[in-house]
Amino acid sequence: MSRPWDPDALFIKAKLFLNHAMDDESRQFDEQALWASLALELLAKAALAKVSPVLIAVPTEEGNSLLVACGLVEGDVRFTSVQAKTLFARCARAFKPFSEKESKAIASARNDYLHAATPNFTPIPPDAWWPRFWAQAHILVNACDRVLEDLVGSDRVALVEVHLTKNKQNIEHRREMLIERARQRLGLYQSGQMRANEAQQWAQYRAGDLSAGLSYSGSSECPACGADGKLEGEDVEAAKHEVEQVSEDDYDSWMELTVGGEYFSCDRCRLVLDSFELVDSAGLPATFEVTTDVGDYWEPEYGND
Amino acid sequence: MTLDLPALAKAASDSWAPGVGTVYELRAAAARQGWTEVPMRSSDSALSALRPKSQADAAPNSLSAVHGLGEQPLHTDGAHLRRPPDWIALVVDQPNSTPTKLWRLPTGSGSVPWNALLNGVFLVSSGPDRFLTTSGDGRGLRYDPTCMAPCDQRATRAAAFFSEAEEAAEDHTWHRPREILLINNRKALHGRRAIADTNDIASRTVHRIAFTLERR
Repeated sequence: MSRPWDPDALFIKAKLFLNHAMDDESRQFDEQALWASLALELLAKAALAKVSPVLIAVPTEEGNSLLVACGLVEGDVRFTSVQAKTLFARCARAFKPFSEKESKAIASARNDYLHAATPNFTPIPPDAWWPRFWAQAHILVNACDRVLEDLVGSDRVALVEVHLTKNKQNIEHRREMLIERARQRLGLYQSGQMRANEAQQWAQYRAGDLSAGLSYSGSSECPACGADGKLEGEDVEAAKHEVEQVSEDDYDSWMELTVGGEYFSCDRCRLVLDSFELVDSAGLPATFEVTTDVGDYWEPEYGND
Repeated sequence: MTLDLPALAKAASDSWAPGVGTVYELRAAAARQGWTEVPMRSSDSALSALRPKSQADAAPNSLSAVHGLGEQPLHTDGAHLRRPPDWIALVVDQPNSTPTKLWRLPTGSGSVPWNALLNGVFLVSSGPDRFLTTSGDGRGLRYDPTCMAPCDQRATRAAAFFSEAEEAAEDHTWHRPREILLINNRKALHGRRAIADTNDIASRTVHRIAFTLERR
């Protein structure tokens, strides 16, 4: 029997489920989306298990699944894997730009379709759903060190690429829409043409209200109005400890962090770009530098001196 | 005459080739080439003596248990193994009158449904071991309808392709003593024709050894 955490076995099962989704064109979209959503979860498992089976094992008190995944326990021990929402949260941290929000929406629609009386998989039309699905699935295929052809076969790659192109266009359209609307809003406010209730809300706004409150932030020029906006992120991609001698017996020490930008907001025009894809599409920097106190980031090593 | 296994393997590289020799000579030559013998069951020896058996007399979970003395479908040997063998050698000491049919994957032909072979998913069942796989991959073919069940439309199409190949199968007749048939198990399928001569039930013995090129 295939080991439940074997990334190759998980990948081929994802392939089978996508065959079910794509084989029969007479199959209803709801059923196709159901198979595809099941495949997405398997791809997430395969991508994480390829790094380490421990990443998909349920961490119980006895640690059965963890021990089996580590190879410390063998035999007839049941291996239980973590839930889809945990898988997707981990994939979002590990495999950028995988979107936890998008994948959880797919999993949530799947659960409602399977377990509730919901008659349809999603209110999103197929032409809009498939590009969003493939955008996430493609990232996971890449994380498995595979290519699309490995998953769907060469005869279906072109179809998937159409969806991926459409997704890119959708992101570009959304970026243009958000930027144009922010410019329009600012123009209406500056020309005094804003509707009364909107103007009232505008006036009540306080700097930072649109911030996502992520751990790190930097400044970046707003793509809509040119003001200084706030670029935020959670993940530190690189950290450097800097030391400078400020006097004969005194040193200054700080941390230079490089953080991935995943959220942008502007207090002036109120533009919000709330995903890595939108931030990237707007031409904002993928990372930003932050200076923090050493103690905020790490405790220096004990040196025995 | 000493068995020249490298020359025989070269002749069989795209399908199969006949040669002359004994089981002893074959095993010695294979060992010199670094080929590793592969048993078909974990409890079996790598060297099997294949004799015609009725369904009732056959080992459970075998081709004979399903097809008995009738014709076997085209198959690759060891399709139930995680890593199917690369070479199959069939050796007879004495002639018999039941041919082995053979079929090679067409080359340079648009008739091979590659997408079905490479992407159709089958469930392989071998006792407690079950796993999903395709009938084709970067290493070649894997197919045995007795232990592989198609799970999707592409796999069903692949199974139909192999079934249609039966009409194009060629016969290898066992007319010479000490004959070896070396089959490239990742490029060609084979199967025994139905036992038409009842003398073969008692006398036909084909020794089979499977080899992998992978060091174990």
